[in-house]
Amino acid sequence: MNVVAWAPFALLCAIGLGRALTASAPSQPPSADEAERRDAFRYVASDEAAERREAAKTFPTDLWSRDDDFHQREAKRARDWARTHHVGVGAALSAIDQGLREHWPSGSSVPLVATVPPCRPRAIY
Amino acid sequence: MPAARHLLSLAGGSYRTVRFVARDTPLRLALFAALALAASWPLLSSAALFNEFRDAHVLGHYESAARDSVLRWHQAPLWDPYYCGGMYLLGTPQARFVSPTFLFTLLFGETRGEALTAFAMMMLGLEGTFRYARDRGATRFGALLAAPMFALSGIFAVSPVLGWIGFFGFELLPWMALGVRRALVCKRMGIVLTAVAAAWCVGFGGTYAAPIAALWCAFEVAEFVVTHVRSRRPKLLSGLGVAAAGVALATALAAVRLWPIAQTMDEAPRIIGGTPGNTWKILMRMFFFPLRSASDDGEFYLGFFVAPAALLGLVRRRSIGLAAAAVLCTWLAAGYEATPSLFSALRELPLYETLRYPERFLVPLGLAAATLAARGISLAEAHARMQRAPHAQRDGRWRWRRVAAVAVFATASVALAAGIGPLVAQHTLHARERSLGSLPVADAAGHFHQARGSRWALAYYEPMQRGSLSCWEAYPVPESPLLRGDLQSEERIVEPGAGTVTERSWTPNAIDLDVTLSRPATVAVNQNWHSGWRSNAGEVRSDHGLLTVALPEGTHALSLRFEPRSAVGGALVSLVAAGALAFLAVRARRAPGVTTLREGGVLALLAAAPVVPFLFALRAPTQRTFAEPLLTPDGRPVVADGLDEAAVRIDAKFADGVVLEAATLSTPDPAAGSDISLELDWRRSARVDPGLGIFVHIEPSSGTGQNGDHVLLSGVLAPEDAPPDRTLRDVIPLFVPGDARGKTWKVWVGLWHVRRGGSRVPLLDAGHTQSDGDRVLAVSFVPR
Repeated sequence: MNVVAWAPFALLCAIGLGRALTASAPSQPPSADEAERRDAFRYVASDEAAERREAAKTFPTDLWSRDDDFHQREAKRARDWARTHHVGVGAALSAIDQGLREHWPSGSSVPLVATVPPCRPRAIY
Repeated sequence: MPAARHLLSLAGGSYRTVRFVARDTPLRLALFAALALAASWPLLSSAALFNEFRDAHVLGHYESAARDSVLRWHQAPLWDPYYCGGMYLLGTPQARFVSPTFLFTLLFGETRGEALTAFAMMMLGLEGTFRYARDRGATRFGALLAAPMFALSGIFAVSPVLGWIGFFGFELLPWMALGVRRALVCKRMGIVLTAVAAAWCVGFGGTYAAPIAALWCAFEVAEFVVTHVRSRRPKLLSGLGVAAAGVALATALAAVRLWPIAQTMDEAPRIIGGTPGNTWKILMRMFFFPLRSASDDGEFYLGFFVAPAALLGLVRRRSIGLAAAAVLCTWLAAGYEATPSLFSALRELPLYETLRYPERFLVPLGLAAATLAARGISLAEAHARMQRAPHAQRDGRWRWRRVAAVAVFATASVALAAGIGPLVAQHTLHARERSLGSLPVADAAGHFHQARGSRWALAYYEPMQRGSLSCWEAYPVPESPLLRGDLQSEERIVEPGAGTVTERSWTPNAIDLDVTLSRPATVAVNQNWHSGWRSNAGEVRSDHGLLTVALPEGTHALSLRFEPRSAVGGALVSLVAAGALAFLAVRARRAPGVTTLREGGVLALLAAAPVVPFLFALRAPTQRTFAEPLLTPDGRPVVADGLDEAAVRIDAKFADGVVLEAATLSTPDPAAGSDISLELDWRRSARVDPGLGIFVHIEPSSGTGQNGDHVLLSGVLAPEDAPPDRTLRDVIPLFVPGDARGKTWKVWVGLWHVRRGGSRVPLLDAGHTQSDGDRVLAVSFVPR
C-alpha cells in the first residue's frame, strides 16, 4: 500500500476523530445538598395534582398518554428548578426519586403514585 | 477574448483535476472525508454533549445501556433493566449497537461515538453512491459530483437533531443495491457486499432503512429480470440463483438481530393506524426547498441544483429503470394523498404495515435523483468530449453542436457542484437547532433500583443506576402494571412471612439471590418477565407480567439468567453465515465470478450452511410463555360470555359483521372534573375486516369536543384478533373537564377502516339509539 497516497485521507479522518475527542463539556454543576434536594422534590411534586389534571384534559381517553404527558411536564419542572438553582438536572431527578421512595413531604393535594400505566403508544396521531 | 480563454483554460483544468481525483481511490476518499468532515463538524465539535430531544434520550440510551453491559458488566447486551421496567435490548428494533460503529461508542462513549458515527456513515454513503452510480454507467466525473447529492442530503442533516442516528442506515442503501447488482451478474463480492450491508443496516436500527432498502433491492432484481427475460435467459437464471444466495446469507448474517426483533414484534406487535399523506407541493418543498423552521421544508433536501443534470440523465434509454424507481418512490411518498395509493397497497404486506411516514420514500428518491444526475453529467461529458474526423471538424454545424454540448455539460456540472455547498450548509443549520445538555457523572458504586422515572429525561437515569418505569417506544413494550418505583428492595417474597430474600449479586443479565423459605413461596423481582429468563431452581413465572420465581421450601442460592433462545440461536446462525461470507470473500479475490455448475453448487451449500445452527437452536427446549388473560383498565377480562346486568343495550349493527351490543357509563351522572369510564360492548362475527378502528366523538352542547378514537379494544386487543360471537369489553377512560358542568355531552361511536383508506364502516341498523352519518349515539350525560 502506498502510504503517502493514503495520507490525506488518514489525516482528515484523524482530524474528525481529534475534534470529537477534544470537544469539551461545560464543567459539572455542583451537586445539591439535602435541603436543596428536599426543596427540589417539594417544588416538583407539589404541582403533581395540577399537572396530572392538565394532562387528563389533553388526553381525556388515554391513560398512557396522560401519564406520559404528565412526565413531560414533570421533567420540565425539574429542569426549571435545576436551572434556577444552578445544579444539574440529574440532581433534581434523583431528588424526586428519593423523595418518592422515602415519602418526603410533597405539598401535593393527592398521593403521589409510584407506578405507571403500561406503554401503549398511540396508533393514530 | 483573453479572459474567455483564461476561463476556458481554468474550467478545463478543474475538469481534469476532478477526473484525476475521481480515478485515484485514496484521493477520492480524501475528498469524501473532507466533505463528510465539513458536514459533521458541528456534531463533532459538540460531541461531549448529549442531545436533549425526547427521542434522542431513548435512542441514545439503548447505545449507552449496551456499552455499559459490555464495559461495566462484561456481558453481552441482551437485557436492559434501566428502561420500561426491563426490556429485551437485543430485540429492540430501534437500537443500533449491533453494527461496526458500536466500536466508537465502546471506545469513546455514546455522545462522541454518535458524532463519529455520523461522520463515518456519511463517508461510507459518499463512496457507496459513487460506486453505485459507476455501476449504473456513470463516468467517474459524473459519479463524483453526484455522490454528495444523496450522501449529504437533508435526511442526514435532520436525523442527528432528532437523535435518529439509525437513519444513517440509509447510507448503506447504495452498497446494498450495488451488491445485488453485482450478485445478479454472478460476482461473489456482490453476495458479500449485499450480506454485510444488509446485516449492518438491520443491526443499526434501520426500522425504515432496512425495509425500504429491501424494496430497492427487489426493484433491482425486477429490472434485471425485465432486461434479461427475452434474450439472455441462462444469464437470468444463474444471476437470480446467485442473488438468492446473497439474500439467504444476508438474512443469516443479520439473524443475531432479526430473530430477537421478530420475537419482540411477535409478542408486542406494532399497530399503526391513520392514513398519512403528502401533497405534491409538500413533497416538492421537502425535497427541493432549504430548511425553514417550524415546517417540513428541507427535511429530505437535495435542492434544485440537481435538477439540470438529473433531467439530462432521463434522456438516456438505459435510465428507464432509474426513472421508474424515482416515480415509484414519489408515488409512495405521497402516501394516501395519491389516488390510487401505492403506500396503502404496500401496507398490506407483512412488516410494511408498520410504516407510518410515507415521505421517507424521498430518501431512495434522493439516490435515484443522484444517480440520474451522474448519468446526465456522463452523457453531456461524452458529447462534449466526442472526437470527429478532421474533415467533419471543419463542418460549422458540428462545431456549434460541440459548443452547445460543452455548454450543457459545463452548466449541469457547475450546477451540481454548486449544490454541494447548500447541502453542507443544511447540516450546520440543523445542528444549531439542537438543545444540548451535559450528562451527570456516572455513579460507579451505585446500586440499581427502579424509579418512576421519566422517558423525557431518560439519559439521566442509567448513569445514576436508576431504571425509568416511564416508558415510550414505537411498539407496546410488555410492561407489568405491578412494577413500582418506590421499593426499598428490588426483590421480595410475595407471600408475607414465608421467608427472606437477599441480593448476592446483580448485573443486567444475571441476578443471584439467597432465599430462605419456611414454606413454598414466590420471589418477585421488580422487573418485567420475559421468556428468556431462566433460573437454577424453582420455576420462572409471570405474575401479570412481573418476573417471579416459584420456589419450594428451604434455602436456595437462586441464580436468574437472561438467555433467550432467539439471541443464542441468532448469534450461532450469524456466526456460520460470517464464516461462509469470509470464505466467499477470499475466493472472490482469486475467482470473482461464479461460472460453473460446480461453483454454483458450492455456493448453494454455503448459503444453506446457516440452516444447520438454526435447526439446532430450534431443537433447544422451548422457553415457557405465559398467556395471561387480557384485562380492561379496571381489571376485568376483555372477552366475556355475555353482557353485564347493568349494561345499557344498543344492538347497533355495522357492516363487516360487527355489533355494538351496549354502551354504559361507569357513573350515570358524573361530576365535572372527575374521571369516569365508558364501556362499549362489541360482538364480531366469524369474519371481520382487518384494520378496523373505533371512533369515539365526545361532543358537548357548546365548546370544544373530545376525541377517543382508538384501534385496540380496551387498549390491548385488535378487533380482528378477538374471538367471534363473544362480548368484547372496550373500556375507555374519560376525563370530564372542569368546565363541562351543565352542558349536555353526547358520545357518538362508529367504526372506520383505520389502516385501509380511512372510510367509515356503514351502519346497517341503529338498534335502540339514534344515528348520524354511520355513527350511533352511545351515551349522553349532563355533568353536575
